[in-house]
Amino acid sequence: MSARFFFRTMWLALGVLQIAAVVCAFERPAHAYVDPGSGYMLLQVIGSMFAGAIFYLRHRLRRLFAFGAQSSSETETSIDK
Amino acid sequence: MSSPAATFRDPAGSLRIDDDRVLRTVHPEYAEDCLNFLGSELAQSWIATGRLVETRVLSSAPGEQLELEHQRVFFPSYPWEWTPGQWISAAELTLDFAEQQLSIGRVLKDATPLNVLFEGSRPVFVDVLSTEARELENPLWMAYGQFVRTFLLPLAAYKYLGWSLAASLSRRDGYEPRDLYPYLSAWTRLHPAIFSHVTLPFLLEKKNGTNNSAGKLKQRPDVALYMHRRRIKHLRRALHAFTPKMGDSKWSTYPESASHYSSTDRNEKREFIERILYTARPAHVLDIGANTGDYSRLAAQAGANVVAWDADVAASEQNWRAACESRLPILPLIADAARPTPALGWQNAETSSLLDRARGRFDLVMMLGLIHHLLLIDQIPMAEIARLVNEFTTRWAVVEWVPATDVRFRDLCRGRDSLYAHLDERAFLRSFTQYFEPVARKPLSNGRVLFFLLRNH
Repeated sequence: MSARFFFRTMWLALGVLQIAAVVCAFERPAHAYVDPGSGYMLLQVIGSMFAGAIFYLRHRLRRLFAFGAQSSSETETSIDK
Repeated sequence: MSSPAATFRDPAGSLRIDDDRVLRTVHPEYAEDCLNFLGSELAQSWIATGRLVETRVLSSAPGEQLELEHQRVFFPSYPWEWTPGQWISAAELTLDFAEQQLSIGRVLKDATPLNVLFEGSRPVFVDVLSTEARELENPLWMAYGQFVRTFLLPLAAYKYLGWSLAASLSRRDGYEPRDLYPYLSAWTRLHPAIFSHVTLPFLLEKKNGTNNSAGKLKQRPDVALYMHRRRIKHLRRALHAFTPKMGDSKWSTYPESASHYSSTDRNEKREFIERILYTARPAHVLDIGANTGDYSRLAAQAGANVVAWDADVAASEQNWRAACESRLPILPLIADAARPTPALGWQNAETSSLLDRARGRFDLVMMLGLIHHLLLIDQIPMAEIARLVNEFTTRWAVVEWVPATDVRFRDLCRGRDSLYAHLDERAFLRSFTQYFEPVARKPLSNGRVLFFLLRNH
């Protein structure tokens, strides 16, 4: 295992942890006139954590294995599609 | 006459029906956002393709309320009158709308079947205030729970528990996960779509209580958008999983299995009805007891906009599917003339009764092969039936008289012959000529008689 691969993997793992931390950070309460439902709201938060982690993981993996041809924004756009 | 506000929960505005006009008031602080949406390419293309209700700005001034007028949908209908296929098609329209809103930086703020009406067999999104500018960093969809409660769970309850979709009549905000969970088998609770939308939310609520700690997450806009799209994709998958497989019912196979109709009788009846339709050229037809819609389609092919009532779910579903395939303007509804949908909601004014929506709205009413059911099963007096037909039509009616000698009449009579001995063609004419003049009479060889009636005044 090369040192370069080791550092990249570490970087990736730290990135995922960072995202989970950011995703978990609640802001002010929301005011919607429809009942968001407590179970469904929690489900969305959990789902968003997973989705956020997948998003970043895919993004990092693409960058990791990219040969420098694609720009970051191009990668994100292709993920959105 | 102006009705009380038909909608009032949305803080952005309200809607009222004024005579034949559908008017919406948007409060000043929401007016600009609403105009932005209506001016968007998305709104224009949805209106052009008939997926969003046509909307005209009546008055607009900075700092003042915005007045809008919507194109009136000919016959408003409610989810409790829809077939399963209509539910699915309304849900798909809502998800399409929600998804396309995302790309213009907007989001649906409510997602209930009540935002959708049907124009013929086609769903139309009618609430232009259901959309608002999206906070680009918020990955949560506040209407997600409402979509699940009001679309997915009634469909899941119908598919897995056999609960009628008509029961949504008593559930303005749909089902909660706890309503379904106790009745689902252990195996069904683990079905992926049920697990995500019933089991898991139920367990989360049980653990955390129902205190709503609704919050906003903050994310990078591109990540938030990705999460919104992913959620809609999951909802589509669940909708697909909850789509019921429609079987046959006694009535959905009735046209093929009706042994009391020879092919000659069937052809003669068809020719007679066809001749009437091309003579009268009605613009709006009500087909009461439409079954799978054979005669609804005849009327639509003759140029009429048809509303087709039948109490049987499978028969109405077939009618709706056939109307979609043939692109005919037919709105099949699960409705029973003897037990019509009541008015509902606050002051009984949020949704209208079936009869109020139907009175005087049609220029031709068809009641074929139904009168003996009303007389014998529902025990409605003949004079009342005639009065009801008169209330619906402004001009014509076609009614099939079924005599006491008819095999189906005898089936329904169930030995009560003496009780119904007075029901004959003379009694039929005595009641109907109170309101109508018979224009044509067509006896069939099976003893049934078709009457083409013209309203007296």
